[in-house]
Amino acid sequence: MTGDDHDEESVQLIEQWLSLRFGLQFAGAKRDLLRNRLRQRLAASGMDSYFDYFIALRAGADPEEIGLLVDAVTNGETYFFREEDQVFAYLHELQTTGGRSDLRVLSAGCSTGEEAYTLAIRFGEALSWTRHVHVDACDLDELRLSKARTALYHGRALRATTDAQRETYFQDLSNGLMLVRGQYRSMVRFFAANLLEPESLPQTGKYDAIFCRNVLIYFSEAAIDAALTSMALWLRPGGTLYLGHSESIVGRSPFFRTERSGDCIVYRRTEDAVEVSTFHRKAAYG
Amino acid sequence: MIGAAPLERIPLLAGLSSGLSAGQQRRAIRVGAVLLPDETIESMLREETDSSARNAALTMIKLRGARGRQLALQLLDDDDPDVVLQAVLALHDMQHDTDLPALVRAAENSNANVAQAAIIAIGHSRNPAAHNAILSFIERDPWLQAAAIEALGTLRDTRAISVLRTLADDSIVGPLAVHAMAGIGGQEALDALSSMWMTAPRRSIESKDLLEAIVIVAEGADRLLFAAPRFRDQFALRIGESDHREHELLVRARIALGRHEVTAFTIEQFLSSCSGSPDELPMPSTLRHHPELAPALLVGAPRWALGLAADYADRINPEVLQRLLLMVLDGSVPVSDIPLLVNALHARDALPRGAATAIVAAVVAGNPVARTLFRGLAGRFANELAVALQPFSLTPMPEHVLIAAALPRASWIVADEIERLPGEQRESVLLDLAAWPETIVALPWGRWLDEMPGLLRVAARLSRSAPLPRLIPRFREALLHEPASEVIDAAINSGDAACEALLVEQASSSPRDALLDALGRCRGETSLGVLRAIAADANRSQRPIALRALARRATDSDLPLFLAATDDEDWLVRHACVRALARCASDEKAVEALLRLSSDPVPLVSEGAVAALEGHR
Repeated sequence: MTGDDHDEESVQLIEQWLSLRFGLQFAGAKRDLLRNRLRQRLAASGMDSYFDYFIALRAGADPEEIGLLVDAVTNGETYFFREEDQVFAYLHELQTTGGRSDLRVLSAGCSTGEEAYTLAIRFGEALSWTRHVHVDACDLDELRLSKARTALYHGRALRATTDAQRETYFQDLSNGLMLVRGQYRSMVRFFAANLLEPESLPQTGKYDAIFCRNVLIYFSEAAIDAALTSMALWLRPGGTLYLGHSESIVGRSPFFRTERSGDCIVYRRTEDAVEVSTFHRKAAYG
Repeated sequence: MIGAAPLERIPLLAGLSSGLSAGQQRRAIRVGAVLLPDETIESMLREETDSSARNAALTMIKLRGARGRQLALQLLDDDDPDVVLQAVLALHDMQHDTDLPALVRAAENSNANVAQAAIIAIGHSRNPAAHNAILSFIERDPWLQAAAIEALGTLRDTRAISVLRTLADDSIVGPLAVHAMAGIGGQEALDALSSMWMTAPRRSIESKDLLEAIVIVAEGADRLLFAAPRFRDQFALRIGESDHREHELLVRARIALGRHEVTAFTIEQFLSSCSGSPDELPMPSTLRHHPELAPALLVGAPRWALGLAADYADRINPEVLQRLLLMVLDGSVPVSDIPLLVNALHARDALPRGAATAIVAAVVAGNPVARTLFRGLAGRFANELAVALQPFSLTPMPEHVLIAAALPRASWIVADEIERLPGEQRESVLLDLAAWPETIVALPWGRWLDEMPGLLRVAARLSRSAPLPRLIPRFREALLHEPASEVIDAAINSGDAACEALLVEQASSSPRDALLDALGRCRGETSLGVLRAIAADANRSQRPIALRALARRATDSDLPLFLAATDDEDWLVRHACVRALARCASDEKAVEALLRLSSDPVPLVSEGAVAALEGHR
């Protein structure tokens, strides 16, 4: 066996580890991306072999490195006021149907928090007279979460933000650094949670809506099923799941039925008494 | 072979009809194709109420190779037309040229679905007698006639063109015949289609359908086809009076069949009709026989011009290459396309005038693209690049090293150039020398390693491409102190017994998993003994790694150890078991264990088990 073969084998082990731990999958061109990013992480972490790196990951010795790796192999990039048609569709639905006094929304796979604060801004502004709005946000990457908690942003994160929005929702700290205003910061709580493990999210009550956009694209088939099971557990019956435009789960899960809301496709948590189990997760992950 | 009740004994297959994931289903079918007896597959094929089982059985037959083909041939005589249809589909997929008589017999089946599938399968056969066999169905009812026309298009025998041309005017099968002519392709098809297009207003077939077929033939040809000037002139005449779709087809036909009369305006029209940006799309086949269009594409589609330059390097004007080179250097063409330019330039005897100077100037200016380009060209154009580098001979640069190695100059000159470089550049340029193993061997490694011990990792890495036995004592020495992985690899690959003894010593006393893993790549008995001892000790934390390493060298005597570990909760251990069992897969217990592991929830384990079963049956 040559050194190159040994490296290739070790990369396969890392790929499998990432799939089991986080549900990430790397088919086709994504596999080249994985190799590229792994090379960078190897160099940055001062290790000299993929095998040593795999052993370190497996041992779970360095959560920071795990976070950096996940960050490197997925696209953690997001920005404020992105793909707002779904947000407005949900607002319209809330305004036309009326309903409960509290609104609980989850931003699942929240990365560095832009979506979570956007939801707080939009829902807080539109509904604060009639409802208490709570936005929870979760991600598996602690580094991203700590950045999200600072609520400090600049550059590309604000590329779709107008001057008026900057003035209204942010405090300018100079040098282009913007801080989300306190009233919106206080509406958002961040948690470290794995979408594949329903119990990893603190059970603070069911959500009315979950926004999980452009997250499932990184998941294997089994991991998508496991994530849907988790989200079905977290949503109240009749609650709404919003996915990215390129993600579809039509006919995939007994816990969601597909509906149209305005111009958007949404997935409604079924009302029936199907007991959500962790079957998918157990079947897929042993 | 698995004995009675095989479906129940293969957990994956037992669940075939009850909602397996796509990956599990694929694995189940692969396992079934290897292990199930013919009778079981046949009975699955007869499952009237379970389409999953029927589809799975068909795929298994296709995957079984010669065994599957024999079964399919037998099933052609079955009484159940659904079963015969599956057999025909299997034979279609396997495309064996001696199956023609059997397929012709099936084409006479009274069931129309079977007959149609058989005719289409004949079209895919490579037997020269297929043409006449298909023609015998061309006068039958429209159902079989349509299949025969499709089959003629797939067979691609030019003898069929005259028949198809006659059928093209038929109001029912006409469009199919035109499509089949497009499938046959070549000059004869083009001549027939173009003369039909010229008289299209007098025919029942749509002019647009004919034009589409012409474009398919022109773009799909493996050479530039000849189109009469009278015919080509019609493209220009009709462009003005055509709708959007026809306009696009006319432009494509004009370019694909054109020669010098293609104008810049036509190119512009073509670019604007493309469904995306030329910066992102691959070069369309419309252009592929037209190196003369490269200059016209430089502005709007430089990547396509580069593609033509790479395909027709000897027919591209050096000035065009020079412009492409400058576009690569200034970033107008993505870095990923550099190999195209390198290929285009490699095919020439000399670089275009001024190219070497331009590249070197960009290198000196710190352009990273130029560095990559220089590396790609150094071996082929060493002399020209050396002349261009001459004015900068006093400046230490990795490019001096590459040229010295490529010319090839005396090894001391190469070494001198390397020593002139700052430390951080030395390692990367040394790794670039992998293409010149003789130079690597001749370098003064002894002195360098005395002065720069950090270079041992690079030397170890280079020993993959150049033999460096004189460094073995250095590797031995390094093994005593936390060796880098490259050094461990080099020590193992050297085959040196003393290195192996040191590795064994280190692995036995160090908690570092990489050392233990390395013993799995050694050859001696001592290292094997160490692995076996640790692998058998359930209390050792390194047991998974030892099992993994041992799996690479496992013999029949290790089988019990691995059989006992197949239920381990650690997937790394189960993966090791798969690898070890694959080495002993002639043993029935190993096969049983691999079958269980083929339904493992971890894909790396289950895929490995399926591949092991496939490899040994």
